[in-house]
Amino acid sequence: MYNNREAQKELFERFSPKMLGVCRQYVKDIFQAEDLMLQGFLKVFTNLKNFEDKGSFEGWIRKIMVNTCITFLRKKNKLDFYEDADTFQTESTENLENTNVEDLQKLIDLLPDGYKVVFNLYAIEGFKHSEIAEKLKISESTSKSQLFKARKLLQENYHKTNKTAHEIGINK
Amino acid sequence: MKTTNIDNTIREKLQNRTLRPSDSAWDRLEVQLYEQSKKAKKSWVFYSNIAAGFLLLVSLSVNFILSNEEEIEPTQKIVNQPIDTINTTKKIDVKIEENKPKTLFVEQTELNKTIPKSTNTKKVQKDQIVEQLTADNLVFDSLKNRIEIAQNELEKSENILTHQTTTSIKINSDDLLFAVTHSPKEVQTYYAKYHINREDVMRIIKNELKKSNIKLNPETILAEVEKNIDEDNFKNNFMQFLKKRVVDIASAIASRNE
Repeated sequence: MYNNREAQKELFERFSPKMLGVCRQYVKDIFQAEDLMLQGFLKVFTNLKNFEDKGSFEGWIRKIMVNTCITFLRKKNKLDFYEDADTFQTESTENLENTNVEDLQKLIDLLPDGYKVVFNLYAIEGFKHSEIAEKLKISESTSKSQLFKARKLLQENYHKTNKTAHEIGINK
Repeated sequence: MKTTNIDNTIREKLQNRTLRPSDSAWDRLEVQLYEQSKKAKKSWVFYSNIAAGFLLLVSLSVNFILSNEEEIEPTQKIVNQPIDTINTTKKIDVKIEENKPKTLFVEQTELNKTIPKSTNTKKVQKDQIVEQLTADNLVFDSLKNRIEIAQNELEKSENILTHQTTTSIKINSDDLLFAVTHSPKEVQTYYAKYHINREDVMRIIKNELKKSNIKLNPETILAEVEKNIDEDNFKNNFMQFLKKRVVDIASAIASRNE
């Protein structure tokens, strides 16, 4: 498959929609996300011979995509892991079950990149704090605090957006 | 529980989300794949060229080193050193003492004891022994005289040299040996007898040394040849035998001077 364009195209068509979704989780701009996805596929085709049949092929491609996005954010110096005091005042009890995917993505987009990456790795990709710490070269406690703050900020932003929508509805 | 619910909700909704890539996505990827394979080919050619160049350099250096070793490594030892004349003279004296016939100092009374007077045959034997001893004594005396003459000549030349310069005297041991064993007149007579030119002999020695790649002073070989000039092989065919003997003589001198 290394030099078989037809096979490569087939693989691309099969996995690219999902992988673009993965990249979009980390990068707000869809065009940037697509560029990162293409970079990821380039790595996939180059390193295809190194794939061992230990896990799922899709999982392997997904990991490559995540790593490509993290490398991009790190190069852009966007990965700042704030250690400032907790400024969240309210603890919302809202749940997000009734929120659609686009709105959820918008809520995630509002997070600082450091929070966003830790939240995505933990909540969506299923990494442990020790693994996240190793991947992002931070301590485990930083990873935990970033996740905690990300959740709080998500809830806060959700509350804010819902409140605004409610107010707009009343005014109408 | 609350936080877990948030995580689960977001995971369920976003984990399997799909977004349609743009129509040009595959074309862009294909171009990147083509450029990458081209780059890989270029780098392969580049590294193979470097490897080939390195191998060529290594082989050339090895060849150069080996050829240099062949030139530097001497095949024979160079025998060309100053001789300690005092020690050489002493050694000659010791040799003469060792080879001196003991019978020369045998008393007449002892001879009378060993040879009974009673029988005529024994008397004859006694006379023969006395004659032999006398002859040996004469040979020894002549040899001793010649050594003394040679030593005197050497001392004279040493005195002249010391008067002329303040540096130490260097005399080839083989020349000294030749002076001991043959007089210059004898050698000249020999050359005249067999119609030999001394310069021709020297030239042949030089040629033979050059052919056999031996680094030796040709004068040393000539002295050695003249020392053995009375040998039968030399008498039969001087020039032919000379060529054969040059290498043997050179090796003998080399081992003697070690």
